Amino acid sequence: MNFESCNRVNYQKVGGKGLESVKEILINFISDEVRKFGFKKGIIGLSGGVDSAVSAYLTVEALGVENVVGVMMPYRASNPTSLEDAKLVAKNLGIKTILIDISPMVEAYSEMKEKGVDRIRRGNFMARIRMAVLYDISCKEKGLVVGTGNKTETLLGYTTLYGDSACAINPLGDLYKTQVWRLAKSLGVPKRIIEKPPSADLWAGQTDEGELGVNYILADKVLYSLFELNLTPEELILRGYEADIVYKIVDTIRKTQYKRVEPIIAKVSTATVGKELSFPRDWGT
Amino acid sequence: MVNENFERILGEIDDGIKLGADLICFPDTALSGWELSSLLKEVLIEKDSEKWEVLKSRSKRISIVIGFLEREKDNYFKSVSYLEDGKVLYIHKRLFTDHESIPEDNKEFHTKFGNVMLLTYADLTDPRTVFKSKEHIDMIIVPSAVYAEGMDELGENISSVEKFKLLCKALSIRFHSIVIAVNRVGFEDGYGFFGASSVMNSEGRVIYSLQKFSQARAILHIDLDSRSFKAEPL
Repeated sequence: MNFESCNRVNYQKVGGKGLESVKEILINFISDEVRKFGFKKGIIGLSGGVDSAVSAYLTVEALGVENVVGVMMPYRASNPTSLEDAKLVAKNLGIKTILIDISPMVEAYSEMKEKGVDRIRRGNFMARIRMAVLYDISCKEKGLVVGTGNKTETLLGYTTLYGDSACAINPLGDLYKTQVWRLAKSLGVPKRIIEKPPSADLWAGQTDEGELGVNYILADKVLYSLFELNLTPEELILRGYEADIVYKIVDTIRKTQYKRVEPIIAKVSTATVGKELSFPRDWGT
Repeated sequence: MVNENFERILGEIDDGIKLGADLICFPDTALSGWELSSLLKEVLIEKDSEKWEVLKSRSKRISIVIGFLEREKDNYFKSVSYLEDGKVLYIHKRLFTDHESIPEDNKEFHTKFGNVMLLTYADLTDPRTVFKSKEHIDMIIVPSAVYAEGMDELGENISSVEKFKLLCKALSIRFHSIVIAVNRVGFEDGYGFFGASSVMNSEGRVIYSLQKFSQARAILHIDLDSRSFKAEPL
C-alpha cells in the first residue's frame, strides 16, 4: 500500500450509522467536565474545519445551544470559505458567535511585518494569538475552552505548542482523524465541511496532508496498527505498507514527543511536581 | 473529597434503611475516587476511625458493600468490604502499587443471605477466580469501577462495556449464582465510568440493568429460595 493508492475521504463511504457509544461518552465527558468545575458554557474556536465543527456539535448536545459560544478568528490571508463554513456551523446549531479579525494583533508585532518571515513562524504566532483570544473570551463568558485537536495530529505533532493545542478539555483527543470524519457525518455536519481537504489555513493553499507528506487515511491505518494493534513497524511493512511511509511516521512521532508532555522539570527534591507529586486533575472538584 | 463522598454515601444508606432494603451495594472507589496518585493519605480510612465505626453501626440495620482505601504497615490496599450486623464480615484486599491494584485471593463467606463472594473487576479474569472450586455460592457481588475503552477502528464499538457484561454473565453461569454488578458513573481525569449496573439470575440472564452513564438507584426484591426477582427503579 502506498500514498497514491489511498484516495481522499469519500463522503459516500464514510459511515453514518453507529458511533452512538462514542457520542454518548463524549457528550457525557463534556457535560461532566465543564459542570464539575462550576461552569456552564463551552467556548470553541470555529475554524470552518471538520474538527471544530464536531466539537461544536457535541458541545451543543452536552451543554445546550444557549451555553455554547463559537469564536471565529480569521486572518486577512485566510481562505474566505473557512469563515463561511464556520458561520454555516454556527447557523445550523444556532449558537452565539463572536468574530474577531486577528490581523491587527498579528501585525502589531513588528517582526511579523518584515518581509521574508518564515511562514511556520507566522503560522505559530497566529495560532498563539488565537489561543490568547479564546482564553480571554472564556474568562469574559465564564466558560471553558473546548478543544478541537484529534489523535492523529497530536501523535504526528501537527499542532502549535500553546497554540491550537491549548484547551481546558479535549473531547476529540482520542479519536483519529478518520474517526472524526465518521462522527461528523453521524452528527449531521454539512457535507462540504467533511469533504474539503483539512487545512490549518495558516497560509494560502496550505493543506494538512501536503505538509505532513502523508494522507490521513494512510496515516491513521499506520497509527492504529502501531498503537491499538501493537504491531511493530517491521510487521506493518510485512503487511504491505511502504517502509518509507512507516518509518517517516514513527520518526515524526518520536521527534514531536516534547509536544505531548508538560515542560520537563529538573529534579532536585524528593517530591517533584509531575513525578512523586502527581495529583488527579479533578482533585479540586 | 472523601468527607463529601462519605456524607453522600451515608445519605444513600439512610434512604436504603427508610425504604426497607436489606442490602446496599456501592460501586468500587465510590468513597475514595479512582485516581489516587499522591492522595493516598488524604483518602485513607483507618479501621479505628470514626467513619468506620459509623458504617459498622449502620450495618446493624442494613448490610453494606463498600470499597475503601486501607493501610497496613507501609502497604496501601484498595479494598472492598462487606458489613453486616455491626461487624465487618469480609474484606477483599487489593495491594495498591504505583501502577495497578493487585487483588489477593478471596473466599466466599456466610451472610444472612447465604454464601456470598465479593469480587472486583480485576478478579473477573483472574485464574484464581475462574478456576476456584465450585462451592455453593448464593450471590456474587461485584463492586466495580470500569471505564469505557477499546473503541474499534471504525469507532462503532466500545469493548470494555461488552466485556464487563460478558464476564459477569460467565461468572454467573460458572458458579450458578445470582450476580449483582454495581459500576461507577461519571468522569474522573478523562476516564468515563459508564455505570450500566446490572443484576443477573443464576443462568446469566440480565434481570435488571440501569442505563449507561446514568446515575440512578434501584431496589430489587430477590427471593433467594426461588431465585426470583422483582425490580423497582427509583
